[in-house]
Amino acid sequence: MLSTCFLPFVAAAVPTLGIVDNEASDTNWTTEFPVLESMAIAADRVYTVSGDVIEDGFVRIQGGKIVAIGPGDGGADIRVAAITPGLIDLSPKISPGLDSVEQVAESTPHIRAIDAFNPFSYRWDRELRSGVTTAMVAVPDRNVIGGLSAVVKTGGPETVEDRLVSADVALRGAMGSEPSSGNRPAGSRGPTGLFNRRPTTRMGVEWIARKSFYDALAAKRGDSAPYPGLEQLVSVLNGELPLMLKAGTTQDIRTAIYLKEEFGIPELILDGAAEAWKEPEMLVRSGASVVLPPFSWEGRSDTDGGFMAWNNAALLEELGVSFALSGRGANNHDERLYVQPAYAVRGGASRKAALAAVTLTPARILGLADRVGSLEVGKDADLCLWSGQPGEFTAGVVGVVLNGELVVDPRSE
Amino acid sequence: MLAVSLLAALPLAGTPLVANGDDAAAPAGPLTAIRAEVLHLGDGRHIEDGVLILREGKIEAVGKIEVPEGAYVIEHDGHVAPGFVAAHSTLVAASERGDATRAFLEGAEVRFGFDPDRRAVRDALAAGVTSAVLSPSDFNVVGGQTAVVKTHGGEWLQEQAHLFVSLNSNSANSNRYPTSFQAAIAEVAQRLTAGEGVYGKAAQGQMPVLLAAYDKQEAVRAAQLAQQFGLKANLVGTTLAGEMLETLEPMGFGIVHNGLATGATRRSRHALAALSNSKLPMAFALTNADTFRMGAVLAARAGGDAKRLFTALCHGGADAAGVADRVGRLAGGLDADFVLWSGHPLDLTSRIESVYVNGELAHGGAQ
Repeated sequence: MLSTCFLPFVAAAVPTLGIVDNEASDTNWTTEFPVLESMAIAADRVYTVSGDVIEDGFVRIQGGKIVAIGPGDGGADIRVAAITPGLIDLSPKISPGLDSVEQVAESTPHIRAIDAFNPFSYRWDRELRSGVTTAMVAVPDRNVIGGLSAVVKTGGPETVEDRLVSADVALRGAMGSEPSSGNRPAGSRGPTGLFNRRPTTRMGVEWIARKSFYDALAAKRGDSAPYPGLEQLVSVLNGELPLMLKAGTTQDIRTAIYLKEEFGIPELILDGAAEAWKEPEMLVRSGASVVLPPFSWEGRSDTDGGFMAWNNAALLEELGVSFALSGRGANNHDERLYVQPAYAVRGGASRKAALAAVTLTPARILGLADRVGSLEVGKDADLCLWSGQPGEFTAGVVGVVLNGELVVDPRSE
Repeated sequence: MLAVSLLAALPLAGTPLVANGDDAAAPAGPLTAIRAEVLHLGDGRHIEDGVLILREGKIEAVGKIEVPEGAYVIEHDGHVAPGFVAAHSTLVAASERGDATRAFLEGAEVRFGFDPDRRAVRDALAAGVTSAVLSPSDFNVVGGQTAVVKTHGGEWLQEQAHLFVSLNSNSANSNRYPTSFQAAIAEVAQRLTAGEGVYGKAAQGQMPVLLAAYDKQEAVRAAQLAQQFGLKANLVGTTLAGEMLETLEPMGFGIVHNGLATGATRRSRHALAALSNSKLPMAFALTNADTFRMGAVLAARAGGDAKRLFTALCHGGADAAGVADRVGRLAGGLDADFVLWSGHPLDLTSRIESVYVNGELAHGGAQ
């Protein structure tokens, strides 16, 4: 009889269960093997995202990975309406606060968000319980270029090492008003503090962004000595690191794309691009990927009040622009990531693209698709278990598996 | 008065002079013995019907021993405990503890800002705290060097006791560089690596460090920094340390707990109880004299280890302060800093009847 999985037990079992046999060293099998139990979950529909939807199928997991997927019951002891990969949010906006952004300068590419990651925050647990298994960690957008973002799992032991998926995965920056808010010109008696400086306007924000890359180019040519942050900017210029810019309104999106074009930045991700629907050609031409903010009943998004149209996702799908959806770490269940695909479908997007937008597409945008984002044998056992079909408003998240551990059990109340 | 005149008649008589604990005055003779219902030694042990013998401001002996001839005896129908030692305090006035000039003030010595006549110092003494670490404010990343002082008589136990490093949201504040936690840690690490002056002493383990880290992830990072540089460190202000024992116990750094007030949440009481049930060294910080021992009381009631909690108030504090060879226990050779209680110190119905520092009556008793 199969029993439920338990990664913690595996970790504890290894040292005590060992049967060391020194004679058997000519094989590469270890005789010290942990007891590996496995679990299977069956569903009316299994959405692999990278492949077909399996009607009446199962997923089997073992040792924290997916080991089998197929039609049939698979010997499952849990049955749900649908299984999708664990959801991925690239913009959950869960940061430890203003003391994770180094505001002494407006451009701090070398500061790492992972160094301020707080695994103890209840907000990660809240994300996990509504199906988000992988999320991005970024510094707050008080700087024009804030630093390096990371990707973590939303659950597991409360340490950075255990939760880290990838550190330094993108360079974070922001267009718009947030980086300039808090700054003010020096008064008549002169500057009185750290925040009496540029930028106080969008012009200033753009200037700082351009200056950062301009100086990086100069240093790359050897015209100046290296400085902190140079390495990260050069990586962006070389296409080794994507640049992820917050840009919600049309002019901010344009500014971001002009920046990309001026410096030939190969990879651009636009975060919170609510008004992406207003500049379709520019977007397509730039090849940028987009992370959309949550759909809003008021229309105005939280990114400088950019207007988030209901058919934003549908339009981007039609244009072939790679887009991800975001739940912004919301508390309200009507705004969380798992319900965003339903809004996207309501606005005209296909169910396939809407579901991909919360799973495989964000994984691909950050180059993590070998580990997460779809249901394939060998990938991390991160599953989201639903009471209905994703993309329908009546479907809720009733179970979550993270790294092979059943964190939310659909069978319990 | 009676005691003094009897003392004058002391010389050849073999009978010990006896005075009642309630109205004992400062003993004028060289040798004093105090017999009490219970003597708390400060390290978790206690002695019933024990005797504490003092000579010239020091403890000569303690135990179930005979009262020596010629000793001035105080009979106390209550408990005697060592004076409490606070491993961190706000006894220096706020305006004097934090210099806003720079975020790194390793050369600032807090002792120069100490005013022994402050009300807070007298209140601390009246609450049984006889020695305290004077700490700088936590809004600088490196606030300065602490000192350890007695709350009566102003004697310095240590003038440059610890390097006080603050790695939390108060020090990573938005007024000046560094505004971010990451940069604060990087700057401290860089100074410890360069190893000049006080940082060199800290990195070599010659000067202990107090690390103020409040939230759990701040504490983890501070502890990792301390481990990286082999610092002799105590974490200050990590009130939820009891929830992170798996991470903190292997590292072994002591925790200086801020204590608890009467309205403390269940979570905080249970965290302190869990900490007391662990093996981590513990001490308490003095922010409010009235509630200095309250944390120990509430945590004991919440299932904590009462002996370890009480030890944290005395010997634990002395150990974290680096002055365990002078204060914190009733043991031969240590200073005669002790308190006469009407009952068990962790019983809230107990009162302090008198406080002695260096064998001299400092508070209470017959005035």
